[in-house]
Amino acid sequence: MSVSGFTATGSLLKKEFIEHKIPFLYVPGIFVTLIFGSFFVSAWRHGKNWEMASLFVPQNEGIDLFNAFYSVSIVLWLGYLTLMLFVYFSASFSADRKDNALLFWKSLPVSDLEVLGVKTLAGMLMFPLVIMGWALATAVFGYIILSAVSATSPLVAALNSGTSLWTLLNVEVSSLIFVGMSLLWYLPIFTFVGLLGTVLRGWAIPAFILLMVMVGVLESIINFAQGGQISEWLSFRFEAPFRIASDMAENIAGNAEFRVMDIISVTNFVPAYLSRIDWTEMVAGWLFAAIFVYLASEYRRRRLAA
Amino acid sequence: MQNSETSNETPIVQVRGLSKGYGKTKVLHGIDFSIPTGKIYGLIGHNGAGKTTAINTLLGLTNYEGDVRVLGMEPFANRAELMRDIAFISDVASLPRFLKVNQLLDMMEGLHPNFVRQNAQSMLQDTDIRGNVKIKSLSKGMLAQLHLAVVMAIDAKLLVLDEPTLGLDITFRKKFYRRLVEDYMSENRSILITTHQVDEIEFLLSDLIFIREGKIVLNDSMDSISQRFIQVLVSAEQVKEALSKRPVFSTKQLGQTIMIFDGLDQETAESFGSTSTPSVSDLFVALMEQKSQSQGKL
Repeated sequence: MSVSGFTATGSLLKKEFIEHKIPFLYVPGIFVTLIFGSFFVSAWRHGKNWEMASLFVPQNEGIDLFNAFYSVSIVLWLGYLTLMLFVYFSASFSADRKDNALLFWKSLPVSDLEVLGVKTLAGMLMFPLVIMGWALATAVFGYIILSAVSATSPLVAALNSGTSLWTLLNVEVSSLIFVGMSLLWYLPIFTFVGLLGTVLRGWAIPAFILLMVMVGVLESIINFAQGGQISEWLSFRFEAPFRIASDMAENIAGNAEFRVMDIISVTNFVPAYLSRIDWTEMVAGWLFAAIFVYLASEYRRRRLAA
Repeated sequence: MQNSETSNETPIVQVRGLSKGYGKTKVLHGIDFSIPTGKIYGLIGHNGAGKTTAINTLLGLTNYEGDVRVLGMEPFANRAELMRDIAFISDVASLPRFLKVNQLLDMMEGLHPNFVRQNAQSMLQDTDIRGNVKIKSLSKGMLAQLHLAVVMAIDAKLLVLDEPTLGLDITFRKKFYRRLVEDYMSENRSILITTHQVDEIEFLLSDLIFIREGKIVLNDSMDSISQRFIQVLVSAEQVKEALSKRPVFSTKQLGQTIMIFDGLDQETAESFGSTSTPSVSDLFVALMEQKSQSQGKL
């Protein structure tokens, strides 16, 4: 009868998944079903119009359309993931207090730090992987739809399944690196919201927004409307991953022979993206994240007895 | 059962000078008690007397002043480690409502090294609770039954039950307490129970602690208590004489005077009227109503 740390972590992760499956599993599932369901209904009801519509698709290879579609969908999924994780961290750090259940969780041989550590792990690994799974499902459905479009239009070349698979692999790996690095970059922000959630429960997000706005306003007043270092640094912390990706896309798009595949290629994207990350800031962020999780666990241990 | 004061073994719980306050309000005033192995202690007191606060300190749920050792460890710093050998249920049904019953049992198996799933399932067989049901759909009574089944399936050295049968009907309460004694209790375990339904647990207690306004007013074994305290239905002509022996409690019911004495010899007591051993609830009322009780004397 021994429970290893691995089993305990697995059990806590499973519990997190069950508790928060609606925003990460069900709602994305409903999105995907509704959007692609609409495409199929549309194709069934307006089959001839679809043929006409395909004439307006820019003359291009089907595979480039697929690349563009998949890349855009990844960005949308990443936006959804970021938003949901923000809400997740604000709610999950205090979720064990719901229904007076904290006493039950405290009756288990798991420390408060371990519990919050697993919640952080769930937010940084488990739920992003679930959303990436939905991104993959989107790619598969997108492939089917674009295949149907290319079959009806002489202007869109048929999708080659081997090339599509290669694209899929490139986009998936590139986006995994991008999502992973972005989440690690935002880790201190997520855990800070978690810390606020531990103390303020449902008021964590308003408090976070208020705090950011107040910092900007106060600094602006002090510096006579000239902005300031703290505001600049906060903007940098919030925008860096997307700014890097956007700069890279613009640089590549500036080339005459631009193709979407050039941006999303693993060999192009990954080394270039990793080399542009400010690793000192990244590691400093992890240290702050560790401090925030520790402070939240101490608050939970000391102040949330009963 | 062995008296706590004569046990040579290290007690499972050892409390010395335990004080606890919330802001300016002091809830516990330097209390002392020990719980040796193989004992069932009842911790009895009015609402707000400090029972739950005392229990929370033993469970490592709150900090405190004083010296507290549970299984040799300081509980507030070692709660997670202690919970391997302690099981507890609080006075409110506190199970996570979003899980199904089977998911709860799965999770307990994954998280608790001393959880025996078969024991929980065996207890649940006597109930209407099914494995594929969401906990939030259970009635208050069923929630309590499920929580008790989960807690009693933990092979713990100390079981702490804070109002465990709140919301349960009399049939299940009796079944639960019988099972607690017959199936769960062993010489390697100790149990600490708080409840307002004192009479229901009187038969299973080995020791009794009364707490009033954060101070312990009685801490003794049931055997000793039955020898120490005597209840007398005092005849009218003996009332003055009986009062001179300083009863701990005196009341009039239906024209008759009932007194409870601490340490009065049987012969003297019988000279005042018919005698009996006071029930725990009678003794509780007697000692709680005493306005100036000396802790040292008891």
